[in-house]
Amino acid sequence: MDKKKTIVCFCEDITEDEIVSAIKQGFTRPVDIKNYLRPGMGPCQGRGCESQIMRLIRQVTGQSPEFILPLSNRPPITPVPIGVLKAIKKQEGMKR
Amino acid sequence: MKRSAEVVIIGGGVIGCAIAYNLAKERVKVVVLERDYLASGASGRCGALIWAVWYPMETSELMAKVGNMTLNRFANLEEELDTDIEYNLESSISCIKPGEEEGYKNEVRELERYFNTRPEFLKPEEIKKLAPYIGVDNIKSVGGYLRSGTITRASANPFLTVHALANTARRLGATIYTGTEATGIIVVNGKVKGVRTSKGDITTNIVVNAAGAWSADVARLAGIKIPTRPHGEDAVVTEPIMPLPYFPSIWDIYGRQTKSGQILIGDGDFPEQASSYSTEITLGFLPRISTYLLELFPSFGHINIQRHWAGTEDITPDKLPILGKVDELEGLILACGFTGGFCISQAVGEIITDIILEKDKNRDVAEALNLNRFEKKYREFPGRWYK
Repeated sequence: MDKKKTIVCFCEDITEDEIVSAIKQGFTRPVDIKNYLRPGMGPCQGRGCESQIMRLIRQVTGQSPEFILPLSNRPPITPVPIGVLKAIKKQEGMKR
Repeated sequence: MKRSAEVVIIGGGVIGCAIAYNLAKERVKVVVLERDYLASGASGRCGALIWAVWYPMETSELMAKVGNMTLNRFANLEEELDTDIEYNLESSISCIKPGEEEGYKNEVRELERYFNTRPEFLKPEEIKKLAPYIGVDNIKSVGGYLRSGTITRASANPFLTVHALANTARRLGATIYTGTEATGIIVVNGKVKGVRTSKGDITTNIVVNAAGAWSADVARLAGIKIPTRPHGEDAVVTEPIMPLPYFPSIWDIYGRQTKSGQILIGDGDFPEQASSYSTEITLGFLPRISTYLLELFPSFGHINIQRHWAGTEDITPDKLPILGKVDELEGLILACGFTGGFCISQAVGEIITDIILEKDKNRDVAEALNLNRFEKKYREFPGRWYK
């Protein structure tokens, strides 16, 4: 398979080749790669690419899987329209 | 790991990396210590706006000097570092709400006087014609100021900026350790002699505290109390949409459209937000910011919010940064207390380098922003100075 054409992150259009070269440059944690190349910052927030990135890190660096931590998800987890979010009523316990 | 350095910088954010780059350019042997990863604190979570008027205060000659320095350096940074940092001159319309006319007049006067920019005044009808997606009637705007293609309103990608500064600094001989925490500062006879890290000691005579929200803790490692505290802020980003020719700005929130087309919006003023290092988001922020967004863009109700995150910045009692030497301890240099630190980072890199190399060019700025401007109540306190 041509690694230059294998898309790992569909949201941000990032290929396997790009991710492997980032790992070789020293971005050896999923969060580092996310910040550098933006996989996992799209609408699916890494649902499609996270495990692939972790696998590539393991393959390139040889790290044990328990040290390769997953990405942090950001609310609202899945995209929600502005108009819907506006309608949320303020409830007790909310800071503001 | 290196065992000695001329300067050790604690903090690998945009400030730490800008200082490292400027020092490395002057052939100073510098080591940067970053506990987590580069730009893991406020640098990687900021709005990355580069504006001339960056503090809610009247611009003085001195602040204008800092402002002009940072704007000009940012404008040339891509060329200087030979890297794409997504530097972008924004076209924006500042929409004036009723009652804000005086404040905007002051801002325009300052822009003309200090930054050589003359924003163009637009009547409400003209805004509607130029940018029909702006909710002029919604916010009862009485007009606006158009700024386009001027370095007084720009933005960049914070991660690319930090990595570009770090990589160039490395190329010039700087050493950057990530995942390495400073655990102590070695002081002998009132002078800094070294830094303890999680991976061994480094001997040095100069330590720069560029630890952002954690600056008070780092200063305390050397037994110095400084009046900075962490302050949480939230921001959201929408899905990518087509490029807006003019981005509206109002005083309540800050925002921009990123290169990929996403709208990034944050709210810079939450006095009620507790002081904490937590980067957990605040639940009530989403409905609140959605209300603002819909007011500003009435037709955007169907556009999705994609991510919501929070970060912590470092604030001081007067909201101005603390730069320069500490009277009580030779060898400790402070570069902290930033709200809007990304914006002035390039000027700070230059100012701190001048202080370390004892050059005169920016002495006036360093003196005005020194720690000794604070009264005793902010320096001698049990525990923390804030509640």
